[in-house]
This record gives sequence, C-alpha cells and structure tokens, in this order.
Amino acid sequence: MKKIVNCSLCLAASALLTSIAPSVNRLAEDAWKSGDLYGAAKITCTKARDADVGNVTEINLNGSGNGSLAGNGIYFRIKNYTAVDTPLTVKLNSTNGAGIAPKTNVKQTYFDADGNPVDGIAARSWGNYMMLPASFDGFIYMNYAEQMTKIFGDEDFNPSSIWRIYIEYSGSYDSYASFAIGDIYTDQVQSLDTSAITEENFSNYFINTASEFQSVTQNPRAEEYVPEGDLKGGVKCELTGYGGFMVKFGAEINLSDGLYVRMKNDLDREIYPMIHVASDWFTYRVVTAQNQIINLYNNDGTFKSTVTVNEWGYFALPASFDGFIGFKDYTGFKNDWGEGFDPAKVVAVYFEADSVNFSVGDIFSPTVKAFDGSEKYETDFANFTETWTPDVIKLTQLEGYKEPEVVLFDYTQVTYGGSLEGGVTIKASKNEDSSVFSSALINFAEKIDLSAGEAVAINFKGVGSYAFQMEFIDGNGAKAILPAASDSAVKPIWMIKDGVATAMNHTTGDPNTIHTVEGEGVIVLEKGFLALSSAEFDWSKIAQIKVNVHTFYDNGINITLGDIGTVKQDGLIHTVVYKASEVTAWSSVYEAGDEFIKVSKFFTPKPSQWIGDVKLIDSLNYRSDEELKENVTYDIGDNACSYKKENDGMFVHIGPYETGHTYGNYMCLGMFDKGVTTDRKVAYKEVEGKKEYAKGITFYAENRSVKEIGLTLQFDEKIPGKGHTERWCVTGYPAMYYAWDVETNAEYMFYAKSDQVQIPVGFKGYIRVPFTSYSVPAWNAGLEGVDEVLDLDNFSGNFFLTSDNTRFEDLEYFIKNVGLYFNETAKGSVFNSEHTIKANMGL
Amino acid sequence: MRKTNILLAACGLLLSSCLLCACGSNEPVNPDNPDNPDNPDNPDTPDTTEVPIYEQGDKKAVNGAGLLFFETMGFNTKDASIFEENNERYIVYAGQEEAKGAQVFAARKGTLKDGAWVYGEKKVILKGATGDSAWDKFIYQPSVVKGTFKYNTKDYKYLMAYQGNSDGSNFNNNIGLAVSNDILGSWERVGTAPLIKNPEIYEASYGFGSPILLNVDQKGSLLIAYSFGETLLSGERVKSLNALDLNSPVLESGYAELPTAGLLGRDDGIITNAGLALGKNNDFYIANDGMTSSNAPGNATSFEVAKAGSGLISDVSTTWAQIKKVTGNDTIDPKNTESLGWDELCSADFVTDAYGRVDDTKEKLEIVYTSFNEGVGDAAYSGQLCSIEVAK
Repeated sequence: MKKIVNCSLCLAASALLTSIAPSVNRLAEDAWKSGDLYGAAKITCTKARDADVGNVTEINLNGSGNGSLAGNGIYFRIKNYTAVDTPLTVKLNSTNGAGIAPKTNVKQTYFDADGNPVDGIAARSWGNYMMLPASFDGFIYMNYAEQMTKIFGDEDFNPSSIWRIYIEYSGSYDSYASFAIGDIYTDQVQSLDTSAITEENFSNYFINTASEFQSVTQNPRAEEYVPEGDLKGGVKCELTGYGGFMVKFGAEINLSDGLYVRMKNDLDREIYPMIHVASDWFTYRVVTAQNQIINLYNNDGTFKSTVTVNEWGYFALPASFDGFIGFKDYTGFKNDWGEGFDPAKVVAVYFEADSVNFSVGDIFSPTVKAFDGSEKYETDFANFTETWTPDVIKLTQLEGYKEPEVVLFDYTQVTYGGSLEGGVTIKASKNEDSSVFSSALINFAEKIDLSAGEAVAINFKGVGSYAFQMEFIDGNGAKAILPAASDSAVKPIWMIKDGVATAMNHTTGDPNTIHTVEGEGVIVLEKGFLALSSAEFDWSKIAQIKVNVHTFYDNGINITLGDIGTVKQDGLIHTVVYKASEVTAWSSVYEAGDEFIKVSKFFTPKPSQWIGDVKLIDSLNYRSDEELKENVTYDIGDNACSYKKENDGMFVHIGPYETGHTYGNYMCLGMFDKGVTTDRKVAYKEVEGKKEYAKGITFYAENRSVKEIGLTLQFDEKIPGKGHTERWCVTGYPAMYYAWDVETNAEYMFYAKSDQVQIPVGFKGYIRVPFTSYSVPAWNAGLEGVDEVLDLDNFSGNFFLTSDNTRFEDLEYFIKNVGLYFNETAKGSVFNSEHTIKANMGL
Repeated sequence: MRKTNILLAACGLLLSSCLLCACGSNEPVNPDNPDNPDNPDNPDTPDTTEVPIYEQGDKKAVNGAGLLFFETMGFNTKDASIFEENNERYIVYAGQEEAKGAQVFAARKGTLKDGAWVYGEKKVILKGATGDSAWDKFIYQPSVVKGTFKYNTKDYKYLMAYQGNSDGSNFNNNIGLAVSNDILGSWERVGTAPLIKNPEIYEASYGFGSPILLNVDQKGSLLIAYSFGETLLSGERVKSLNALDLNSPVLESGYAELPTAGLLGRDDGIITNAGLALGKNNDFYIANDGMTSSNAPGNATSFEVAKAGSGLISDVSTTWAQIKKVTGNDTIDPKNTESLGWDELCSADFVTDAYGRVDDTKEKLEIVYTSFNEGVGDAAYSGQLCSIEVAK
C-alpha cells in the first residue's frame, strides 16, 4: 500500500468538503454509542486471489483526506456478515505521514450494537490486525496509545488530521470476508457519519482499490421505507428438484417504486433463490442479476442487511430467514424475456430454486400491494399460482387465506318439534386424570340419515355451564366435529331456546368444545361449521354420536339429548329423523364409554294409567325384550325362570328347581319403581279430601299350562328410616282371591293354596287378591320395624313375582297389568251382581 | 259314606247294642237272642221297615242320637239327602241293595206319627250304570231338590245330583244328574256324560263329588255345591246351574270356593263332604265334617254346624259363624248315661224344604248324619242314618 506522506491536494480538497465534514466539536462521552450502520460501506470479497494479496478499502473521512480522529482512540461501528472471524488490517494514516495499526497480540475492545461491553475475541499473535468476530455487530474500539502502534512515518501520529483509514484483508486466505463499516467515532468527535454520505459521494468516502476482487457498496443510509406484510394465504413451496412457480396478480400493477416480497426460508440452512418479474401480460420478463443488491428486512420491517446476487442470478437467503426482500428499483435486474420490461405493468413474480423449501407472502411496493394472500380465498389458490415444474414442486396455500364470508342463518325462524322423551341424560363423576376425556355414546344400529338440510338439530337440555365436545361418526368412521375455538365466533353452535338463539361458547384452551346453555331447547349445528376428518364424510349414514366430557374439569355436567333431526333453511323445515321415545332397546343405543360417565334414560314421569278401578303399577307392556328387562329384573344366577316380552305383557316359563337357588325353591322377578310414573308408590286416591286406599293387588294372567299354575305378587312396604322393608306375601289358608276370565266370562272365588295364587288351567283374565289375604312371611317378620300391620301410606311400588319351582316346574304363564284395585269386589252369583271385576274395570 | 278328603272311610258299627226298646229299657239287648224281636231270624221280629224300633224320632238310639230307621247290618246306609214337604219327608240315601252288595240309591218316605217320623219301605231308585264306558258304574252321595226341570220333552219335579266313578276306586269321580217325578219311583239319568267332569290330568285324584243341590228360585235356578280334590287342591266349590232345560243345562263356568274362615272344626282350611242349606235370606248353613289333617284315614268323628251370609259365594270377606260342633258326646242318650255316643259322625246334611232351605224361624236345625261305630261288626257296611237337633 502506498504511504501517503503529504498531499497538498488532499489538504485543499479537505477544505472544500468541510461542509459535510463531521463535526469536530467535542461530543458527550457516550456519543459513540449512537453510531450506526446506515449508509455503511459493505465490503465483500467477490473473488479469491490466487496469491496472498490484500484487498484494501480506503476510507476518506471527509470524502478526501484530512478528516479527524481527535481523541484517545477510535470507535468503529462494524458488522461481520460472515460466520467466520475475520482479521482486518486497519491502518490510520495521519496527514503528516504517520500511520498506526493495531498492536500485535493486543486485544481490541468490543461493544455490542448498544454500546455494552462484550468479550470479543483474542488478538492475533502476529501482524497488526483488528479481529472482527464472526457475525459481530457492534463497536470495536482501539486506544491509540494502548492498543495501536506506529507502523510507518517519521512523525508522531496526529489523530486530528487524518488522511486515510485503510481497511485490508487477505484476498486469498480471507476471501470469505464480508463486513460493513459504518459510523466512526472517537471519544471526542464523530469522525464519520455514513448515513450522511449520499449515493453520489459514496465512492469518495469509501474507495475500493480492489474492485476486481471485492465489492464496496453502501447500505441504506436511513430506513426510508418499512415494509409491512405477512405470509397469510401465501404460498409454501417445497422443491424436490430444480423448479419454480409464479404468483400472478391477475392485473398489471405499477410497482415502479420498488418491489418487496415477504419471504421465509423454511430450511435451517442458506438457500439460493432467483426472482423473475414479468410485465405487460408476460410479454417481458427480467431476472435477478449478478451484483444486484437486494435488501433484507426482518419480519418487523426493520432493515437487516443486503445480499448481492451472484453471477448466476441467485441470492443468498439466510437460514431460517423470515422477513422481506426488497428492491428499491429494477436497475439490478437483467432482461430475461424480451427487452421491454415495464415496472409499471408488473403481472407476476417468479421464484426459482433447487431442492429447497421456502414460503412467499405479500408482494408489494411502498405504495401498492400487488398480492395479498389474506385477501384470497382458498379456492383462488389455483388461480394465482402457476408452476412449470409440477413434478418437483409442491405448492400449498398457507393459512390465513380469506375465509368465505359466513352469513349466519337465523335459526330462530324455524319452528322446532321433537322432544327429550326417551333420550339420554349424561352426567359424570370426577376423573383425577386431567388428560383424558370420557365419552357417552349414542349408537345407531340402523344408521340414521342426517343428510337433509344444512344443519343438524338435537333436542337438548342443559343444567349449568359445562363444556363438552360432540362427534358425529359415519359408517366408515369419518367424523364431523365441533368447530375449533378459533372458529367459534364465526361458526357458532346455536342453542335455540324460547325463540332466542344463543351461541354456545367455547372453552378457551379446550379445542372443539361448547358450553351448555341453561335450559331446554334445540341445539343447531350447521354442517358447514363442523370440521370433517374426511371429505367423504357421509351425513346419510351416521353410525354414532359421541359426547365427550372432560371429567376432570366438567364432572358437574348435566345434559340431556333427545330427538335428532335436520333443519332445511329453505322452507324453514325441521324434521325429526330419530325419535328417542321410539327406542325400544335403550341400553343398546345409549351407553357410557367408561366408569366416569353416567347415562340414564330421560322421561317425563306421568301419572299411572287406570283401567276402571285399577291403577296400573306396571303394565308389563314394554316395546322390546330389552326394555322389559330394564324394568323387570332377574338377578338370580340360576335359571329359575325365563321371561320375555310377548304382545302387551310378559311371558314366563318357570324353570326347574335346582339346589342353591337364591330364593329357595322360588323364582323371583323384581318389578321396581323406575320413576316412570309419578305415583307408583301411592296406594290411595283422594276422594273429597280423604284418602281411599286400595283394596288389594290385581293382575292379568293366562295359564298356558295343562295344570293349575301358582304365582304370587309380593310387595314391599317401606319402613321409614330402615334399609329393609316389610314384605307382604299371599298367605295360604284362609287367604282368598277373585278371578274373572275375560273370554269365558267365568268368575271365580278361590282360596290360596299354600302361598300361591293358583290360576286354573286355560284361564285368561284378571285376578284380584285382597290385602286381607296378605301376610308377612317368617323370614321378614323378625326384622326391626316390621309390625305386620299393612300401612299403605308406605307402599313402595315394588313387586316381586314369584312361583314355586318345585310345584310348578316347566309351566308357563302370561302376565300383564299389575296394579292396585280400589273398589269393593265380589264374584257374581245368583245373589249378587254387583262389584264384579268386570264391572269395576268397566270392561 | 261321604268321602273326606279323598280318603275312604271304613268303620264298623256295633249293632249288638243298638236296639232300643220303646219302654226305654237301658239293658243291652243281645241281638242274637232268639227272643230278641230285632233278630231277623226271630220269626216274630217285626218288619222293621214298617214298625221302626226307634220311635218318636227322638235321640233315643241305643248308642247315640236317634236313628231315622234301622237298616240291617251290611246295607251301609249313609249319605242322606232329606227334605220335608207337606208334612212328608223324603230321604234319599246310599246303601246296598242287598247285604254287602252293590251300592245303590234308595229312598224312603217318612210320615209323622205321634210326633215322630216313621219311614216306610225302602225303594231302590237308582243303580250304578252298566256298560263298559259308563262313567258312573259306582254311584255315591245323592242330593235331591224339587223344581221345574225339563229333560228331553218331559217335565220333571225332582232333580238329583250324584257322584260316580267307573271303577269304584274312589278316584276320578264325576258328578251327574238324574230326574224323576216320583222320588220313590224310577229316576232317569240326564245324559250319558257327567255334568261336572274331572279333568283327565286329575284322573289320579279324587275328582269331583259329594254334590249338594239348592234351588234358589224354586224353579230351575240352582246352586250346586261339590267337593273337589286333587293332589294339592281340595275344597268345596259352588256353581250356579240353570236346570230349567236339562237338554242344555247352563252350568256356571266359574265357581266359588267356599271360604273356611270361621270354621273351627278343621285346621287345614278344607271344606269337604259338607252339607249345605240356604236360609230364608239366602244365608248359608253348613255341616262340615270335622276331619283334621292329622287324622289317619278314617271317618270324621264330629261335624261342625255353622252359618254364613249370602256373600259366602261372592265375597271373600264373608266368614262362618259356628253354631255347634257336634261330637260323639252330643249323641249320647241323655236318659242313658251309660250309653255311648256314636264314635264317628259324618256326612251331615240338613233337613230342609224340598228346595234345600231350612226354616230360619225355628230355634233348632235338624241334621241328618251318617254314623258308624268302629269295631262293630263289619265296619265297611255299618253305616246308619241318624238325626240330631242343634240349637241355633
């Protein structure tokens, strides 16, 4: 490097440039901390030398010589763009010909970009180097006396009058070098404000003496424009080979004032894309070209750095880069197709690369947004993207695209039918495992068709406010589930109650849930609002509905689901497709998925039916075997009897006697109060304010056997405060009872043989056993509270149908209409025609 | 004799001491004494059918209450049905046609002589049916009422119900009907099938027997009471029977089993072999054999007389009120303290009007019963008919 001893020209020149000379007024002590990289010189080695020859950049602090570094040391605002420690030879050449450089093996002083001390790196043990740490971005300080040494000149170094600063690095060993030098301060003066250097004067301040091997460019002097944009609705590109795509604007857009693209490197390594820009409806096209400078911005729009397009037209996008690339103008581009590119008529931007993944979002200029993915619908994707390398590219629309405008239908306009009757009430107990959900299942052996209309409607009742999920599962296992919490505001699940629609809120943090709305109504789930696991989800073949409850948090849930139907917006038609009250095998349809879920049948208890003077306690007229066995229970482990639904009652086959019967030699079927009626336990009726008590037990029976058959309906009297009851059984002698055969009209008066009411062979009719024919058996008589006095105010409503297996083995009968009779009863005879069973029952 | 609870009765009657003399001698009389006017070998023995040894109809039996008439040992007189009409009595009963012979139904007419009923000649009125398929080759327990009955094209005044079986085994009994216009004359069976048939499944059991007819309206509206017995079922049933046209009698398909509440004479709740009568207000009177379930097979040793309201056959709450339990002690001749009462008393029935009603206005009920004295003679053929008055 040529030593400059004296330069009259420089001295003269310095006087001309004093107008832009940095201030020489003494600064505040920490003034240097405000130094920045705006307008900084970015020095990048572009070509390695074959020999170890230095690439030098001269800094003229005033645009020519004679700057000032007055003070005790020099602060460089400096940044290393590489991830490699870069040794720099820094020489300060005063106008008297003296020059100083960093002392060998003396560490410089390092500060971060905010002026806070940092460790830096060790000094080089040889030569005179300022060591620039890898990726460093901050200040390096060197004290003239302590950290620098005179390397040439006869005079003493005069910091107040500086001819040049020389920055040098090995063009062969350090050919990776890329760094920027910004503001230069001393503890007394701001020696260089790079942001004040215009583009035109830049080369006066930073002189590239090795332009063949390095580039010296100016970073943006100040942030004139902060790009804003996002990746929403943009394009995710995954390349398995060399390929590319374009984002088409669908119009000619004037991007004359620059081109900015929101981009993201989806890989954790540097990638090299290329960009083309087309105008005039693709007539002309330009492409990124060698040495073209591209600004990189962080995703908040702040300037990050520049990149230079390499000789092949690619530029380096840093690993995991997530921000903007920007072109202030199109001067760096070269023609790629035709020669008439017009930035005022840009129609598309092309992106090319090889086997990399990256994402492209908004494309815009400071004044115009050419492409905004968030304004595009999902259905637009195929229109605004195009690729010519389909075999190696996968393009996906990023989230954030525009959702179709949801027009909420007013479901309160619909008149809803259906009911909760026969449905399921779901409750839960607490599961200490907070990570799981429990489910109640509604199974449709015959899949139901909910394909009609736009919405599913379920008659519903909620108590309190608890969260639950709901899944519709079709015959192939595909699901439709409630919208995610983020969608709830625009895709509500409605509770229609008393003509008012209330959106069922989601639970924050719990996906796909809704909260119950207190009260009874109809919940309406618009199908388009539900998330489908498969595009093939089939509403016409719904196999199951799952109600999921987080039993750790929502174990207080109490909801009832009844009829299930559809809502057709056109015509405001609500159609009940599945009527819960018609379910005859309830336990097969509704079940609890685990021990934390409780399911029970919902029904509205009704008063008991009456036939004449008979109040039916249990008609035994169930719709299915399963329903029968839900209400008439047989909990003996042996086969003392078998029973099933037959027509409007129950058929019983008395089994053989086997040793070890639970109840000795008797079969026993229990008919218990399940709350179906409101007054099962009431054994009286109010007549003019007084209680008229029932007179006895009645039932209809048919003897299907060739012999007389015996059975008894035992019943329980509650004993207040006791866990056991007082049991009443038919006495043997001298208990008597009545019978009336409905087919032959024969009337009978019998006395009970042993403890069984005996039904004549072929009998089909009603039996009446007065309470006077009942007594307490020995096994019960000794229990506490058993007083052997019948108190019908404590009638339990529970019956036990027994037959003696030893006497009536293998005989069969039919029974129905078990109840209480209230009128005086007598057998018709030549002396009496009143109070017959037939007359009492009004049959 | 009427059966009790499917058991055959067998007893003997000691007749050697059963002779009573009009003078009221208390000394036992040896029936073999050729001078004994009762000795049938004594040519001087008066015709007992016309001149009863036991006069006055009082309780002056040699042993026990008064015999209605004397039937020689071996004729097994028993199971009477008796009614009084126009100062005449008719008694229909079972007995042997000849000593130890086949059982037949016989009838006698009684007339009142000096305050005592004197019964005339025995007439055999119905025998067991013949024919291999006859259901009633062996007949028992007649019950006769008066009324208005038509059978075939003929009108009849008297209707009889009786028990029968085909083999004399006391199993599989059925109940049939017969009609006549002359109690002492011929009786014609009503049809060839029983009126009340024992179901086949119960053929091994007693079946149905001991019928009692009660004519409610004095025409053809009857009540028929009968015993039934099968392995686990025994009792007394009552059906209504419209017998106006016996070509198509209307037998009630249902029935009332008579309640036993209030009857003290039995501990097993069973009414069998009972005699029944109606009172003026349709009250029921019963004379029920006093067997207990603990008795060994044999005859009753007592019978119980009781009364119940008309609700007996329609209202389960109707109970009996006992009038008296008649035992052997009640049959002791009060004038002969050394005499013995009858050991076995059974098959009692009431002396009623022709329609089966007792006279409620009277202070006493007259009851005819069958008696045996066990150990006397051939017990199987020792039945006699006696009567006793019971104060209500």
